[in-house]
Amino acid sequence: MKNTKIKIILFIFFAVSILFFSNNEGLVDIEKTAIIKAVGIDYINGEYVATAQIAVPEATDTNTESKKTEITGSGSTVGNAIKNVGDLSGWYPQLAFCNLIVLGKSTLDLNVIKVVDYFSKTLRVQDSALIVVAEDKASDLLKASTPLDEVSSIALQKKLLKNPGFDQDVATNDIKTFCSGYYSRTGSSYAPLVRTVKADSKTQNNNESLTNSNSMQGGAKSGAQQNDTSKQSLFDTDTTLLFKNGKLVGELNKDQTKTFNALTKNFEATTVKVDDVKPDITESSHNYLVTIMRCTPNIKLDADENKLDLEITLNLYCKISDQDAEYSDATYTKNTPMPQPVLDKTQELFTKWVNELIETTIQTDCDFLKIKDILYKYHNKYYARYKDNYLSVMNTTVSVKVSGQK
Amino acid sequence: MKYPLKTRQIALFFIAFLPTIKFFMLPSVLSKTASEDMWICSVFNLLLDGITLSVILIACKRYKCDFYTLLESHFGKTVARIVFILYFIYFLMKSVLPTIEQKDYIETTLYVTMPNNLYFVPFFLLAFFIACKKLNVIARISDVLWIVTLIGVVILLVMSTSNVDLTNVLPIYANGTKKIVTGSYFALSWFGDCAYLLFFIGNFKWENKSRLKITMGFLIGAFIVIVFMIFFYSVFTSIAFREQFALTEITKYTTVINNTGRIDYLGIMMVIFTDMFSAILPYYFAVHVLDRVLVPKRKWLLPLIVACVLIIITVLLTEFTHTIEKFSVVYAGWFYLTMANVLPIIFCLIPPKEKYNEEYQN
Repeated sequence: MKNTKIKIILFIFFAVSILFFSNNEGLVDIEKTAIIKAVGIDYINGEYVATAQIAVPEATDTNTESKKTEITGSGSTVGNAIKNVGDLSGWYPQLAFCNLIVLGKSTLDLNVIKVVDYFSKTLRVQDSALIVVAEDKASDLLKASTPLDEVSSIALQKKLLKNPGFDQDVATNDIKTFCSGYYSRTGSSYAPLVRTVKADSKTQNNNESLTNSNSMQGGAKSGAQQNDTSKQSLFDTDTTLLFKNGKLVGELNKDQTKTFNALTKNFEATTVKVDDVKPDITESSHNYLVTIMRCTPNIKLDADENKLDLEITLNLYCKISDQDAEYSDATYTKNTPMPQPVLDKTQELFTKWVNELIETTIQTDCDFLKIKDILYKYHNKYYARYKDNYLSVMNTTVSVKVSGQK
Repeated sequence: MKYPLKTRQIALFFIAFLPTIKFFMLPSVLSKTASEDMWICSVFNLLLDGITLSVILIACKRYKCDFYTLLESHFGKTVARIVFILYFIYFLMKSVLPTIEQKDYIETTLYVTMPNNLYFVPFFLLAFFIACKKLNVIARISDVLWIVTLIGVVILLVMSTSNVDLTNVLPIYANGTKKIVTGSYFALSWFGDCAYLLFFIGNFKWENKSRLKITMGFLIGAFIVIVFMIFFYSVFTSIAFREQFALTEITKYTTVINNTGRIDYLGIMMVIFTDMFSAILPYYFAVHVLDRVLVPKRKWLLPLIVACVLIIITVLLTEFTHTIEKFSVVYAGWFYLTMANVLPIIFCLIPPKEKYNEEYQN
């Protein structure tokens, strides 16, 4: 009797366990599942239009790249539009692998949090997905063909997520950080603007130079390459859009974006152009490529009843990676001191860019440097005193120190 | 006399079960109430539990009889029964939120679409199986699971460090006493773990280093909770209150995941696994407290009845989950405080009656 009881209990346990682990009731056939790699949202005629870029796995001996397709759905909310993607296609929109959210230009007329918040709240999407803004329609960006990868969102992510050693020239942002910026005291967020650049002209230029230098070998190949890439695009992500309370208020150009990254992110191994520098009074001007080997930023705020002082210091340790001199100088590859004029010019450039960042912050009221947070965290006593006018009353001091090999 | 528990196992009990149950809804509840001071709320709760623990440890040293006998000897059978029935209600209420959290987590993260109601049955089967066992089952589970909890927590914390900005919890004490106390009050449902120790009185042999071992176990568990709370708020800051399942959210921003996929699920699953037992604990004690009062002939009957009550509350009354959560968090705090902290301190400070100790030993 005792054994029978145990057998019954064990049987029930295993029967239900199978049900539990197989997830039979909640199963969605893989054939009916659309694995969405990226979602683009446009706002057209009062409706949200979601374009889902769906990865179609194709494993062949000759081709290891993924194929893609785009499906569009619309609705009165973002969630509704995405649901309609599934309703229209019959595919269940699986968003767990969605790593990129593209906002169309049309959504910038709205408070963009109306669009972004869905991706932050729902558990269906990882809120670590990157967020970008398309210069025109988000759907066009996702449908764009690039020579880098068959799937445009994967090509774009190569630009957004750069490994250490590459230039940190994109102010990459994800859904979580975007939303926490919006809901923070500053109400400020940012996202990179993605411009499509025709690949054909660039390829053609490269081919031309190649032809000039080695016409016998490169001629036929470059012609074929030009045809292949005639409708293909590359992405320019150097510009950063600034948002205050969800509204677009301004932008940072390429240099300002780099400086913003220098102040807030890991900036090592990023290169900076330093042009028209005379290393010696006897020489003509040269252009230099300076690599930042170490970057130590510090944003400090001092507050009392009568004044609010912002002090931004940026210590850069650099080396020269290249110059366009008429002579070959091997010393630049060694640990030799940088010419003082190059150090001075680099310092001058970064000082100018940091000042421009502060000016942009004041003009747009977008506190992307989180000065208000610093005030709240470290000078909470004076937070109430300055929280509404801190940008207008603060005195800013910028101190950039550039050094090289000593 | 052979004791069902060893001091070591009680210490490991606190490491295995004290932290994990606080990694789901609690961080968001605290963030909503006290923002960057949410971790101070936890410190408050843990201090309260620490005081309770130290008082109960006095009783553990002093009494050789179990808690029921202690009450019976001082106040009579009726009072002992009433107190135990109150503890049954307390443990039953305390088991509701963790069970709902487990259920919601599995439902929303592991199932693509709406799952069948049967998916959560194995949880109750396991709970029923454990509840049919004597107290030494808890000791054995603690012996096994403490290391699983530790490894899981270490994986989660290490993987989240790259996104942790500890300055986000500054300024300390910015929200004032009122919000911190309110947060602590709302969190009472998830704390009060030292109440379990009441039912260990007389069930383990008091040794010279018992106090040190058990306190160390508690402190390790408490340390993990505080670090997790600080990390959680440091990662999410202004949107922390929206992160319903802190456990899975905290790690996913690490760049390792971009290259390797969600390997953090290894740690998450370890913590989920121990949390399952942690969620079963109040149910287990509810059954055993009632068993001591009613002393049924069939030992499986009470676990079955209590499991059915829990199924009705957590699975069948899903439409009222919000009300149940609100009641437990907002209105029932005083009851949790009384049962988990006030009553244990009062009862444990009662002077011993040697007669009953000796009788119990014999």
